[in-house]
Order: sequence, then C-alpha cells, then structure tokens
Amino acid sequence: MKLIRYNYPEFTDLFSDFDRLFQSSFGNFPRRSQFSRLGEVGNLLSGEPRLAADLYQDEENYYARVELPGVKKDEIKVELDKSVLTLTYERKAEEGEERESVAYKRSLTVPEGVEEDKVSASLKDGILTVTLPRERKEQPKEIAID
Amino acid sequence: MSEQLKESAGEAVDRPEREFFVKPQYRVHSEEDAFELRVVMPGVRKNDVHVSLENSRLTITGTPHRDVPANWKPLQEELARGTYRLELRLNRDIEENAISARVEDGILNLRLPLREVSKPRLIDVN
Repeated sequence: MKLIRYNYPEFTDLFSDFDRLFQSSFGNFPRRSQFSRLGEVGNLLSGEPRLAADLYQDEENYYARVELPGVKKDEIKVELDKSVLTLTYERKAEEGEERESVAYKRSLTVPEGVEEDKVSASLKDGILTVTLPRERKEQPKEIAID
Repeated sequence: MSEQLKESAGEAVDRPEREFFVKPQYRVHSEEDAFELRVVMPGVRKNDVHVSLENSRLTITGTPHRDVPANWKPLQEELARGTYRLELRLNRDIEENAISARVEDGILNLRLPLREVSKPRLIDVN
C-alpha cells in the first residue's frame, strides 16, 4: 500500500469559489456556469470541484489519466518536475464584449524512477493519457570465471 | 441486516465489472426550431452512444472506452466508472427522424428539431 499525496488543484477561474459555495449549500442549484454563454465545456468543467485522475503502472510504464472533455491538444500542458506531474489546461475565449478565461491545474505525485525525457501524452475522446516510462534497473552483471 | 450488508459489499469487491450508471453533465440550449443538447461523456465514441425517444422521454446512454489493459495495476483511481445514462422528459414534440448527433472529444452534441405543430403559430390579426 502506497500513500500518494493528493494535491488540490489551484483554481484560477475567478468564479469557481462562488460556484463551489452554491454547490455545497444548495446541491443542484443552477450554477453561474449554466447561464454563461461562452466556452461551454470550460464552464461545464468549472462546476467540477477538481480534475479527477487515475494512475496505473505496468512492467514498463506508469500511466496517468485525466478526463478533459471538449479540450484540444494545444490547450493542455504536461510537465514533470522530479516526481510531480502537473497538467495544466487553459482556454481563453472572447465573444464581443464578453471575455472568459478558464484554467485548471492538477498535480499528481508519481513514483520515482521515471525516464523524464521519454514521457509522452495522448488525447483521445476527451481522455488524456500520460505515459511515463520507468527507469530500467541495472541488471547485475555476471562475471564469468575463467 | 448486517449479513445483507456484508453480502452486498462482498459482491461489489468480487464483481467490479457489474454495470452501473453515472449521470453525465449536460446542457440544453433552446433555439427557435430545435433543442441543442450537449452531454459530457469522456471516453465515449460515436458507436458507443445510444439515443432513444419514447413517449417524449429521451434516453441517452454511452459506454466509455476505458481501455485499461489487464496488466495495468491501479495506483490511484478517481475517475467515475460505469455507463453514462441521461433521461430527460421533453415537453415539446420532436421530429424524431430529424434528430442528429455528433460525438467529438468526449462530448455528445444532439440536435432535436421541434415538430412543425409544436412551434408557436403566428396568427394574423385582422
């Protein structure tokens, strides 16, 4: 059993605190986001208290998964700093007088021993999968005796 | 009672694959001649969506592709499991044959055109 620290995402959306207040107090009370016209999915997402993430491992890799529906490839940034994987999603939309900026950040602690320069990510059907190759353990060298 | 609880808990552990439903986030946009419906279903592809309309009850189901290979060992699981299911009651007649759907990046866009008779009729005043 391994304990993985949960890092709360930083909300940079100005209204999300306001949204959460309503969520916790009134349950299904319509949120600001449901009335807003801009950046549909960004707003739908802002009702979420956080970005949920899955983490897996197999023999070769670790895999991190996050749901990012309606998000385009170039709106996501994936960073790995030592064993902290940070996913940032940012979208700016403008429609006439209205301007909107949505940003999410989710950090995950991944196990140590990742080959940092071989990390890759793919986005499919609204799900982002980050593949983090595990460092190969040096095999003990067997020395033949003449 | 406690016996029952234990039983159902054991079942959940033994058979995690059992189907259950998750209500997806959605938004309805009402236009002059149609409803536009956006349903957030990450992991769902075109062929995984099923839409049915019966007695003005619209049912949408979507089975997400999780693609988690058997040899992947979970370290942390937070994403919702299960099949998406949304049931909406419509108070307007829909032109069933003209319903169109599109799935893109885990979002279902559904267009439900209103039936001619259910559009408000403009009456000329003489």
